[in-house]
Amino acid sequence: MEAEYQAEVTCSEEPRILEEIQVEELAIDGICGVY
Amino acid sequence: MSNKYVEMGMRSPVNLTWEVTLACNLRCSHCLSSSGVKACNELTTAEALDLVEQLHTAGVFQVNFGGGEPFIRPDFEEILAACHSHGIMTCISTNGTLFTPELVARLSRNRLVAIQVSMDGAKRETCDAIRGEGVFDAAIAAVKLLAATRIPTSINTVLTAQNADEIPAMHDMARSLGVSLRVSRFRPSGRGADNWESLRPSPAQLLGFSDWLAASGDVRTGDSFFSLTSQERQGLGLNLCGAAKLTCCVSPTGHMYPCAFLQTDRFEAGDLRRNSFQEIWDGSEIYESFRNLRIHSCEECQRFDQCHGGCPAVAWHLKNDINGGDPECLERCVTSIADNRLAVAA
Amino acid sequence: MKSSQSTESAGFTRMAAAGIKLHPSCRARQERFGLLFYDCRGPRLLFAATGTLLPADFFGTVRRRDEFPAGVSESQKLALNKFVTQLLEKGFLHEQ
Repeated sequence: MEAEYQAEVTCSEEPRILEEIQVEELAIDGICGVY
Repeated sequence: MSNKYVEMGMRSPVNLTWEVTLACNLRCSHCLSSSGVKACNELTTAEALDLVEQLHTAGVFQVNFGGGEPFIRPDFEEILAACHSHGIMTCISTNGTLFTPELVARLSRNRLVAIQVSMDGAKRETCDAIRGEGVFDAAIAAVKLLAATRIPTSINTVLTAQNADEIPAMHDMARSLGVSLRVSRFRPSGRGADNWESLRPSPAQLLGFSDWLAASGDVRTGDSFFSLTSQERQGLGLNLCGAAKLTCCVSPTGHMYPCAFLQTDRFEAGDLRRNSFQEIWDGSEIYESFRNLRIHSCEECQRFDQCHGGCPAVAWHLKNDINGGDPECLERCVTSIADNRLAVAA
Repeated sequence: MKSSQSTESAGFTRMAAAGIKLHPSCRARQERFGLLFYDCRGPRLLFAATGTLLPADFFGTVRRRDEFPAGVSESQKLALNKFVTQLLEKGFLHEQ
């Protein structure tokens, strides 16, 4: 399970940490497809 | 994956494709870059090593080497070593025909090496029809050498009309050899464009492959098939095109592009002989246009959140429209088959 | 999470871990949202909205489990503690 989203994030501001730091995982088996 | 972090913009790519040479001892009919003869003015050893320094400074985590056949470059192992000295992971796409026990022993000394050996069929005749006579046996020999080491190794197959029925057998073959299977999407660039009609999988084959993938969680695809990805595979990779957002491509001559399938003047983002890697990543208008690319024509589609319009490179090559939506997405495959049935019924 | 307590099945009592550190297969760098972690074993990425709370090289050296940069508030420490637990569970950090 990913952490509950409790950080406010915008493109122009630093994230404001509330109670938990949000994390997201991504598998990247060769992002561009060929290699 | 919500994509919101990706859409905020990365300070540098997570990984990149670096085609270190166009020289290749094979002439595969689906080659995305029409490899064969070395390009004029390929990056020198000094320029290549300087680029590695720049990638390190930029914070690039992984370099995916291809070509051409990378091992044709006499300095390729020197370039690899430079990457490793900075902790950069290297993934090498190779035809495997130049592998020797000595080369494999040298490569296996570093844990930052992963290798993909290209093969295009479970049957010798299928593979060799695409890649050339004798290539199947040479590639199998290379895979066996690699499987005996700790190098993470995969067989990489480009899905075509000719081998679509053999993918499950390739999966079995990879397992029996002790390596993984990776399937990549055939895209109409390079010689692949010249042979598009004869090699392209049919909509029915693409749908069948999508179903098979859903039940074959250990098969790797990168983002090749995010346009076809079923619900079962959500979370195994990106659900949007990563070009200019998480990845990019460097050509043998040091030109930068959004991805390996868009290496044309129209999509040139910069020239490393004129600007630094970071300058091009930060300042290229082409890259900016890809970061802002929204396939509005697909927004009403029920699968939009799963593919965001699919592969812009395929849309460009087939429809000359980067905003046009992927012509081979799952939804369009289903529609195409239904239309054909209706036509037959009528 | 891997315990740093005794491992009786191994027939001996392991010393408590001295601290935590970035796993050798992992890298981290600063992004606008915070830290981006990479694990070459996947490969996989982890996006962490840490802002500028932690420098990218913070876990490049061995840290105590409760050690954080100066100036971090108590509530931020709580959040960072949970975050470190996640990084350990996911294998981006390991005990030394």
